[in-house]
Amino acid sequence: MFNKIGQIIILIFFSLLISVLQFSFISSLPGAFSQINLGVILMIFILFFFRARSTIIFIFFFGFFMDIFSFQFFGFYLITLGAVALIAYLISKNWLTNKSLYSFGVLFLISTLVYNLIAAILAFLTSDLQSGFSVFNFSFWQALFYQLVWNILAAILFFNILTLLAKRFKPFFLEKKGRI
Amino acid sequence: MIKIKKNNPLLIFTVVLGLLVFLHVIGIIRPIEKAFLFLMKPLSARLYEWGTGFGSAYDERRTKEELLAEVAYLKNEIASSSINNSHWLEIESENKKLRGQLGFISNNKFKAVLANIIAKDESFSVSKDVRDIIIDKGEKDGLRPELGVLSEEGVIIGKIVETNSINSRVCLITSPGCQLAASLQNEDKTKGITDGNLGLTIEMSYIPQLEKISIGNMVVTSGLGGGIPRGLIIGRVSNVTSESNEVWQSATIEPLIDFSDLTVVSIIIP
Repeated sequence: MFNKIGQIIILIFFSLLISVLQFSFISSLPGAFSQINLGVILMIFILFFFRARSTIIFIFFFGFFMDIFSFQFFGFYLITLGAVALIAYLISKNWLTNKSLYSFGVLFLISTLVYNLIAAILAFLTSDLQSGFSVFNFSFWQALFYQLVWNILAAILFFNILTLLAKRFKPFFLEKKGRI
Repeated sequence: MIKIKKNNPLLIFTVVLGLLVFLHVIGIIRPIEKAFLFLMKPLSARLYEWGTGFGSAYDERRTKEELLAEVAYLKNEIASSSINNSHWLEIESENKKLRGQLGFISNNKFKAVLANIIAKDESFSVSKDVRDIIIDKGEKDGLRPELGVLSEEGVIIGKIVETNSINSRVCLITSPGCQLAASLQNEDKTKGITDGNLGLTIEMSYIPQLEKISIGNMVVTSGLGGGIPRGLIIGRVSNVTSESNEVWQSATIEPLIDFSDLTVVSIIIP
């Protein structure tokens, strides 16, 4: 019981720290560095390697803190991250058959794409509707490209670290046994 | 029939999210939100400063050729500035005398509030050129939309567009859509409206064709906007676009400072 509460408290502090880092530090970095999306990276990491319940606790508090800090409408990050987590969960459960680097990478790519699309749609629906839809703008796809690159790098990094620490995620690449 | 488990995490998340939004709308959790915002202020300001420092260091990686070109340019600038300086000193002394005679107290006319920049807004807007900044002062400190925001050097960098009790969102004058009522320091004291261009420069439009504008003219606020006093420096004219068949002409204005290095700003309350 106390162990569970302790884990939740640690997750809350972790979410708070990550949200402040994302909001203040990452946003102030130059160019492509400002496109690092810690929320999505860590959400997929927790979903892939830990339990779905931990993912929900993380996105709930991370989204809540981001909603407090930002000037978007309250619930913007909670809704976006919740929808991405649901899609990532369904994909990992129904389509991805193993815990390989490929699966991890695919999950990162789809989640990043879905996150940006949902965020753009929500921002468009809550704006004055006269400013246009950012999806039709080059800068949207440029930012998305940078995010995908960062997330793939994060996927490779996290996966390699985890394979060093735990054996359950091997084999790293598909085996070539039985090949003529 | 679809069975929904009572302890389904998705169901719990949706219910809690709905409840949270409801509690936010009716204002019950506002004190908790304010407490978190207040507690995170120093950390946010420090993290933003580190990020900006990293950005400056990254931008300063230049080649030898670029540095030599810049040295040559700066030498020319120093020469022309020295000539201008003597001219301005003369005007300044004359101005002092006149102010003394008129009993004009301009410096203490308005109150200024100092604020730290804590983030750049991730706006998900149409153009990534629109990157507003968020400062750690809000309605509690007397701020409201349309107030002017100055850099440490006293150059206007933008205006407040949105506030909450703790923080405010500021649009930069180089961001498209951030408009200011401006006046050129030429013979005609031409008035117009400035608007950001690509997040890099400023455009001043609606200038009548008959008005004479020269490259190098300074642009200041005209005071017609309401919340922003007149005479605050916006930038310098770097290009003039004038077509004989058009009713209006426009000028491109270059800001005098680099907005990416800002960490502290002041807000003028008239």
